[in-house]
Amino acid sequence: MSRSKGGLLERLAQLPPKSLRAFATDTRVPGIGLGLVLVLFPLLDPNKSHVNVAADAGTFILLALGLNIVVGFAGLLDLGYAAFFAIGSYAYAMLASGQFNIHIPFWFLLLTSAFTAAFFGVLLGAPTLRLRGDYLAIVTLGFGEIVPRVFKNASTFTGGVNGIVGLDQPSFPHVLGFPGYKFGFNPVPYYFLILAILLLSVVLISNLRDSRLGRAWMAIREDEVAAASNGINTVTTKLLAFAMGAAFSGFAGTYAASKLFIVSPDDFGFVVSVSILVMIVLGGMGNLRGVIVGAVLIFFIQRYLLIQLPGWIAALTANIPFLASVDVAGYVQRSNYLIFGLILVFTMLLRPQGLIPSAQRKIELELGTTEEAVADLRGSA
Amino acid sequence: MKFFVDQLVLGLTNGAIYALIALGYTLVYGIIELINFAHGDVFTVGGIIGLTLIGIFRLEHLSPALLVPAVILLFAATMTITGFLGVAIERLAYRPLRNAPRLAPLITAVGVSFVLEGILFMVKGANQISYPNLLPSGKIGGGAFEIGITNLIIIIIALVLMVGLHQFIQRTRIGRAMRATAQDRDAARLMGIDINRTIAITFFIGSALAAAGGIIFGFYYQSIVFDQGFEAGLFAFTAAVFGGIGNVIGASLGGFVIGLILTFVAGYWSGGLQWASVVVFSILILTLVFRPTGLLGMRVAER
Amino acid sequence: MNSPKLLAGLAVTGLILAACGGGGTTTQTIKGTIKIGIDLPVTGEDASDGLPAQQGGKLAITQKGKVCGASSHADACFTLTAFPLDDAVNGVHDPKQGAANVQQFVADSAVLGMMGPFNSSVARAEIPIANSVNLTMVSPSNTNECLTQEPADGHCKGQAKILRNNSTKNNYFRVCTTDLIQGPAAADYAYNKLGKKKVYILNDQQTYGLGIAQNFAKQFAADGGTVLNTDLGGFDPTATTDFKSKLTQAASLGADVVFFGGTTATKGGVIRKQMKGILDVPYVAGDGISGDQFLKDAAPNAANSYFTVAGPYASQLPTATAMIAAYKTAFGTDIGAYSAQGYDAVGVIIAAISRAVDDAGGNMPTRDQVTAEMLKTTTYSGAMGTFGFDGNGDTTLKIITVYKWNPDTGKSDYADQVTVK
Repeated sequence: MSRSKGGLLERLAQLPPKSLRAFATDTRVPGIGLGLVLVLFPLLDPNKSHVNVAADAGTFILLALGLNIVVGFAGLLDLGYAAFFAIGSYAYAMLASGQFNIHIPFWFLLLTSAFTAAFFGVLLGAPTLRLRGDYLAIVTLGFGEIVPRVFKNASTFTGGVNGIVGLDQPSFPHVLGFPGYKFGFNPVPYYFLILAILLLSVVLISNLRDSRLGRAWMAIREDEVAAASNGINTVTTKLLAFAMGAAFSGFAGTYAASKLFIVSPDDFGFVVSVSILVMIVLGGMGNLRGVIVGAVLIFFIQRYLLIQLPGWIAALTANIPFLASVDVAGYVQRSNYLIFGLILVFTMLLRPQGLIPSAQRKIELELGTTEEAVADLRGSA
Repeated sequence: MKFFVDQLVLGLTNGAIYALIALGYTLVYGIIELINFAHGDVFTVGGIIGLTLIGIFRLEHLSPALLVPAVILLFAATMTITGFLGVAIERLAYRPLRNAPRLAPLITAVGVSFVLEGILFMVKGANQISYPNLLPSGKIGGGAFEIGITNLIIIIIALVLMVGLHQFIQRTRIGRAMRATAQDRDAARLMGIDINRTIAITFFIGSALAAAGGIIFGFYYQSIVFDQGFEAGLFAFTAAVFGGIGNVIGASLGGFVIGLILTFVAGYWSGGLQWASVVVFSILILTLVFRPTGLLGMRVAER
Repeated sequence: MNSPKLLAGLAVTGLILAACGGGGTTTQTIKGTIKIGIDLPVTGEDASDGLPAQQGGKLAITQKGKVCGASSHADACFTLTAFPLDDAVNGVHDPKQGAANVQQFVADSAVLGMMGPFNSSVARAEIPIANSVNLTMVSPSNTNECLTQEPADGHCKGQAKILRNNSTKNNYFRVCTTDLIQGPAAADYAYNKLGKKKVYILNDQQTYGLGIAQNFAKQFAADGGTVLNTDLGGFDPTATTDFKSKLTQAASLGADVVFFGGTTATKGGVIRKQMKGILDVPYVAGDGISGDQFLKDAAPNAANSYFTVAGPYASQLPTATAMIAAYKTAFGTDIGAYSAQGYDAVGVIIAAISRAVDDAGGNMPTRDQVTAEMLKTTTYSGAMGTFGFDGNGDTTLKIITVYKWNPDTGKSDYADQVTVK
């Protein structure tokens, strides 16, 4: 294990040049054009509420990127990912609000909350990652059910059902002649913040993927026994995937909580975990672009299409005598669970690599597992 | 004393329902090593199918003399229909992925769970659906040992089904084929056992037992809701793991234990109702971490 | 929503308006459009409460059609339109979606006020955002006291102030009274009118349910009754199906009444049903079980169930007759539990805008001007009667109506009315 850890540190040390290269090859170019549009978007669209929606979508992209490390890279099914999101949110809420009268600056907590969530990831993962993959799925599912309930019931610390209100909002301090700036409830600075976080995350994750650790994850995903016999410490490697995945949801939690101004225990249920899973399965497990596209698509379906569609359908069917008596709009309105389920089932059956497949993952999922990744790892060792 | 007996009876009744669901998890896991996440929702669907049959044949308004055979027929019909649903799920969603990487069938199982829940939500909505109790109510016994007739009948039905299943697996040819397939699929195939058929039968039996649980749940609580299978399924899965997954007697035992724990936690601990599910999920995690083979479990190879 | 029935209703109200306006002498000029945001959960589990409130609000807007200056600038008018949004995601009210919706209202400079939200938890996410730009909010149904005030015992822990970003300005109002009144009214009714002395309490561990249970328990004890379980019986509504164990406990303690803090969606009816044979005593709850679904969930044990509503008995108020008829014409259904509240919430905003048009010299008023006029509202005559707002933004109409479910008629019967001061 010490060897693969060393590999990671090496990678991190040579981050800047490598990352730029990785990012450039990864997104190809219309990347620059897309980047320009993303940066200029708040200036081009005068309606701040659209910026706000984009800033909310960013939370889910970040969550999907994090879960992708666990599920897409390492092949571990985590069904309680929202629990780490909750931990990140509550960590911020308790340390930057009037709850205990502690007000640690946002920027510091943004970094440390990643470690807090990662810590809980290790805490859960250390004893359970030895288990078979499907047991791990059920353990994380149980964990995901326990965490929000504990936050809800331990009201002395967490504000109970009412959650914690009045979180500190990010601001730039008034130093060295720069005028200070408070984010307040203006969505524009939050948008730029999440854009920066996402950019950094994509760079970081694509480096991780190409690092020795990343290849170890893929080796484990394809054949754990073979990976172990090639000298990979499977438990530690899996634990790192788990911890890193959790770390990104810690980021997301801090960001989302500070933007929303409150946390409440009802926002982290199983359906949140599954939505994030649907995002990465649909987009393409293991592929960053795919995961981002999947996250945006599902967010759009959940927050816009399923809310607007029933109205349109009601207007459409009102004048059709046959359909007017049937509550078509009602059925569409209640179709969200079914849509999630169908996406999961049909993607797995018909296109397991997702909309935008990762080349490596495509081979594996279509042809079954191969020794290739292990051989690849052995070759580069 | 009376309070204790009351709680004991309530706990065993709850346990009977969880045990019937747990059997399906344990059978399927034993034979193809898949956590069938959709199983909890098959339980709900079974309850709804039973309710639909009750409505179609107007069983609520039947004369008491005809009620006993009618309820037996109701169980038989519902269990058969739901059993075929289980077979269909296996055939359409799980069998094509039998040789795929392990992640694929797991994700598919979560997907099937959402499909079933989604259909129920679409058709029946989010509200509680009223369910009649066709079992006789009233109490028998006296003093501290006065217990509800419904509770007694539910426990008896569950025990009969469990013993029947055990006998089926131990005594019949199909049962032997199931055991052989669970032990070593390839060897079983070489011995001339039709693997696909055996797996299909396993899904049939598991789903049929869940359907029986669904009807009993409906009779007992007199209401049913589209997403109850999620929590009930998790409780039942905990029961299966606690008893030793893959082990039929273990699952039955586990079901009763979980039922009793849920009831006693609620009955004796003042804040119990809000912590009950946390207690059960903690048992799930602790069992998996410290004794993944459960109380009576069979040895499961690490993978 | 865009049904022919609504159009028919519009035509009728248009005629009335034309008839009334016939005697006017001033020529009115339309100087622009003012939007009123409506944020309620109108899909999924909460739709049965949210939709009638939304329709009540829409009715108020379509009836008026336009808003003109109240006196000095009566000739300056603005077309009124509704800007309705849904805060339910996956069928359940969602604070994040509520916050995003308020951002939409904030971003649209034509929105000068909003009606909503329905749920107290959503309100906590929305108030700070609206407060930061001083946008008027009027809720038809938030009864949680901590949204507006700090009761003497300090149990709200300064939430109202935090929600307003520690600023002194207030932008949040409500047309229903609080659980500080509703919970005790239910307790008084159970103790004095029903003559019950030992209560067993269950609550769904939600903002509303726990809050009303606490307020009930306090008053029931003050009246001289016994609260058998001081933990107030919190349960987890998504995971709990079996209440029989708790109810057996209640029976063994000798409970002669059960109070439930929560809603039908959080199993209010299921609990009542499971009481049959175990604990055959009256059942009392707040407005959370006022929807028809309670009868279906609790059948065949729905009799002897009581609930309170934080408002007057609209169906028999002379002031509400016209509104109830117009609602039926427009939407083809009877009013829901919160339709009158939704109607008045929008109505009071329009009245404030009208005065703000004067303040703005006949021009489009600012949000500050509208909120300032809202704060001055002392006597608004709406469907529920004449009311104003106190310094916290709470209604001065402190009326609680007690109803009793009647399974035979499928409706709830009027049982009692309590007016505080």
